[in-house]
Formats: sequence, structure tokens, C-alpha cells
Amino acid sequence: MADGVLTNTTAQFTSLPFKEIGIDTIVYIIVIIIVAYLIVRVLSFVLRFISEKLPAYRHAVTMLIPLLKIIIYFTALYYVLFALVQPDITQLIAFFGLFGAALGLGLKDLFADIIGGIVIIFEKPYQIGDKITFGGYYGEVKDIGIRSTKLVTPGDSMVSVPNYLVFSQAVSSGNAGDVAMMVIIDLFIDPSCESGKAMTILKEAVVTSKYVYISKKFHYTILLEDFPYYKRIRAKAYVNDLRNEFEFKSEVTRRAWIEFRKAGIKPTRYRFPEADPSHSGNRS
Amino acid sequence: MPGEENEEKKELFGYEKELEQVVTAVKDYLAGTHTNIAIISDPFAGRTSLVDALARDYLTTTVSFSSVMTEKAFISTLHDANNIVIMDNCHFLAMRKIGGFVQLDEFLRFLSSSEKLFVTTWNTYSWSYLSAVKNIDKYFPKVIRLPPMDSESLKKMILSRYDKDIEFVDDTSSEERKLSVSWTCIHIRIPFSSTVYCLPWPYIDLSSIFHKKKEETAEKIVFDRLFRASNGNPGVARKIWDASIEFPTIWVSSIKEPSFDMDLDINEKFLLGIILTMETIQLGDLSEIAGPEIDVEKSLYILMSRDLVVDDKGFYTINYRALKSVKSYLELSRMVW
Repeated sequence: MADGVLTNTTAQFTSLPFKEIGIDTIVYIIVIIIVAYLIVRVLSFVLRFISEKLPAYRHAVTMLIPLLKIIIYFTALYYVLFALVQPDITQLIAFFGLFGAALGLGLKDLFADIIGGIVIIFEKPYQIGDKITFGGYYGEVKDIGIRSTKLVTPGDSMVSVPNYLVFSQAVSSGNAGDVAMMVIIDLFIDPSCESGKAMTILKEAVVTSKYVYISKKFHYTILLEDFPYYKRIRAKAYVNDLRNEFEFKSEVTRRAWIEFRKAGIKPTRYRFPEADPSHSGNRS
Repeated sequence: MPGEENEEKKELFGYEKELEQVVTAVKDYLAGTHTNIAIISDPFAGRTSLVDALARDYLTTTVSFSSVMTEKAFISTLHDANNIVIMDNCHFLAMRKIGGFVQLDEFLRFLSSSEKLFVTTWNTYSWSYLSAVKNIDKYFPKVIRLPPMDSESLKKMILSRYDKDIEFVDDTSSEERKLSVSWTCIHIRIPFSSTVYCLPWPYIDLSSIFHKKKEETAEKIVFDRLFRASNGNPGVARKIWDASIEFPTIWVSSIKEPSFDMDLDINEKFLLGIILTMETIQLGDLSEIAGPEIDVEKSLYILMSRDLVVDDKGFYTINYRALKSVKSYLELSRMVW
């Protein structure tokens, strides 16, 4: 039965009215591909330029880029296809059936990446400009392509993560589409020190930072937790632009420690083992 | 020149409704309902004139701050004050640095235990910042914001200062009536919320192209330009007008909307934001806020060379002509909110 259907589909495909492919058709196809590529590049450049002029709305603008890419490349594919064949509706369905089967067998990863890219665009688990952890990597999303998502890690490495991973792996986004992002800053003080004073200093270091953004929606918190050999003062606050995440942490930490010393608040003498999770790079 | 005799009274022009709100709150206080008042406005907008008008009609004690307060001495003044206390420029009670909120905390502590009525004035951005950081909005249930004026109100305010007629001359050529596009900030208040959001909006100046076709008078063109250049801020409009008029004639071309180079780094943005929120600040205070990370003098040089900030005898203020651009830029950068 299945063999019969496949034979029938193959017959439909082979009977497709292929056009005569001459040099002009090839030139036409090349021009279409180049034009589509140029349109994508120009639109990406223009949208990125506009987004940089509107820092607070950067993500809303850049999110249009992958959507436009999909539309332009699929439109280009349509024109390329119809430059080669002139099918009727039955033949077109048969063609796509066979095309789908080919994808399923030989190009399933690529196909999964493309579908993953479409899902990312419409479901928006993250957007261009977000700081995310995806596929085991942490970084800023620079581009959402047809096949992969490009991240720039804190170490300035460009990582391409296949889009299909969105189906199987959790994505953690620190800012969920906004330019502001919550940053956690931990300071560890000696347990004998006055924690109330330390909390006040850290609070003021946070709220007076040049990088902070505070409003009713983007609020800040200062928390104290006791451990056997130290007290942890934790600040949770939003940085006004996620690109300043590490500068924000650094500035607040530096200013807070200057004031801690003036107030006689000492750092803990406890030596953290290397594997202590509280000292890992990307805590949440 | 404008008649000086009625200057004080006329300066309040356009804010009669806001003054009425303050007077109503004062009357309520005298009748037994205690509601502290915060009057909020942009720099140059004229909130001092508003409280001065109140002081003329009621027995009040006025405490006016003109620079950052580092001493608690003002609290003793409050102890001996009348029942209605006007505190002008309260944003000088706080400094954006660690330990910079002591005077504000003292004032709020005093206010919390006092039976007196406090009529306070604040810079818009200081108010927003201190509301987010210190919840000062909870201490002042009655908040009065001085809104921007429209072109017609600006016209009435400006012309009320003159006894003689002003001659308006449209000397702009068609070449000057070019299409200009710029980004501006539309302020939107969500219903049932006091938060004001900035919506970036492209401003396309078509009026300069079409005003001849509409047969607009030179007077209307002048005040439309004045409105756009000042963003409806009466103080800024008055300064632009005074700098432009050659009494009794004013030329349309003399009122321009200048553009500024706003490509600043984070330190320059931060200092510009501090100057905007404090309105006027000395180098020493600015250095204390900036800390050792920022080379204040170098950053100030850049801000002044771009005409964003002016040095007024050791006090740094925003150039009134740049106020509109500075506000939009810093709001969009989320350096002020």
C-alpha cells in the first residue's frame, strides 16, 4: 500500500512540467538570491540602526529582523521554484510531499532548525538583544537566523546554537525582551559584622549606581542570608541596559566595599572551595 | 521691554488651575484636613512662581533651597515655622551617592510627626527617582504637575508682558522650509496609574513647508516655532523669546530649533542626568556624586562643548535650548525616568 503511494507520488513529481532551463533562468535565480540577500542585509542594517537610536525599545525593533528574514527568503524560494517548474495544484502537493519526505530523510536537522527558527520568532522564548542561557551557553543574542541563533558570550566568543534545541532544551532569558535586566550582586561579609549597616550601604550603592533602573515594575531588593562562616548580602536590581550587566555588578561591588571598609565591615575569612556553586559565573 | 511692575503676577500666567488646587488643599488644611502637597515640574517651568503666589495670600514660612543641602540646620527652621510651610526645590535635600539621603530622611521624619502643612516643589526627574528609591510619593498625597503649555497659552503669556504691539515678520525663504524629521518623546499616562511612560515618536515638521499654503500669519508661525523649541515649557519659551526679539520686532527666522550632538558615553550621560535632575549643581557636589570612576571636568568639558550644559558662575545647568533634546535622549536611554 505504502509502496503504491510512493510510486504514485514519484510519478506525479517526475511528470512536473519543468521549464526549459537556460542561462537566463540561471541568471534570474542568481539575481533573486542576491536581491533577497541584499534586502535582508539592508533591512537588518536599517532596523539595527533604528534600534540603537531607541535604546529602550531596541528589542521590539530588532525582533522584526528574523521575521523579515523568513518572509523574504520564503518569497525568494517561491520565485526560484516557479522559475523552474509550472505545476498545477496536484503536482504542487505531490512535489511538496516528496520534498518533505526528502527533508525528513536527508535534511531533517536542517528542517528542524528552520521550524525551530519559526517557533522562536512567533513564540518568542527570547529575542535579539536578550541575555539568555541556551544550549549550555550564556550570552547576548546577536541574531536569530534561519538555522541557528548566534550568541556572544561574556568572553566575546560568537556561538551558533542550532534552533532545533528550542524543542528539547530549556531557555533561560534574563530580561524577556526588555532592555532592562535583573542583576544579582552578592557580597560576603564576616558573620561578626553588623548586617543592618551592610544592607543599608549595599542598598544605597545599588540605587545610586549610574547603571540602575528603578520603577514600580523594575524594583530592587536587598536580602540577607546567614551561613555558618559568613553572611551573604544579596542585591537584586535592574540594569538600565543589559549590555552594562557586568559594569553594573563591578561598580556596585567596588563602591559598596569602599563604604564597608569605612564602616568597619570586613569580608568573610572563609575561603570558598572552587566548586562552591555560590561562586559560579551565572547565578540566578 | 516688558513692564516690570506686573512681572511677578504675570509670570504665573497659565497655571491658575494648579494654583487653585494648591489653595483648595490649603483651605482644606485650615478646615482640618491635612494633605501635604508636592508641586512637580521640569526645570524653568515656573513652580517657584506658583508657591510665591501662595505666599502672597497666606501666612506661610518659605524655606528655599538653591544648592545641595549637607547640613540639618534647616530642620530647626521648620520647628519655628508657621503652620503652612513652603519648601521650594526639595530635590536639593538628596544627593545620588551613598549616604546622600540623610537630609531627605531627616525631613521626612520631621514631616511624619508634624501637624504643619508642607507645600513642596520638586524637579520632575528627582521626584520620579526619589519616589522609586525612597517612596516620597507616600508622604505627599496631593501631587500637582505643571503641564506643558500649548502654543496659544504661550502666546498669551508672552504678549501679556508688553504694553506695546509686537511686530511679527516672516523672513524665512522657501529654502528654509525643509522637511525635518526628529525623534521626540510622547508622554503617556496609563489610566489609574501615576507612572508616565515615554513613547518614542518620529516628529515630522511639515508646517514649515505648508504654512504659506495655509496662509498662516507670521505671529502664528512664531508661536508655533516657540512651542516646538520650548516643548511647551513656559520658562524656556520666555528665554528663547527674550533672546530672539529685537523690540518691537521679532523675525520668524530668529526662533530656531537647534540640533545637538547627543552621542554620549555612560559617564557623560550620567552627569547630564544629574544636572537635569538637580537643575543646578556645583563642581564639588558633582564630583562627590560621580566618585573617582568619572573624570568630571573632562566630561563637563564635552557636555559644555556640545552646548548641552552651561557654567553659570560655578553652577552647572542644562542649556535651556537643549532641554527638550536632553530630556528625550536621557529618557530613551533610561538614565532618567
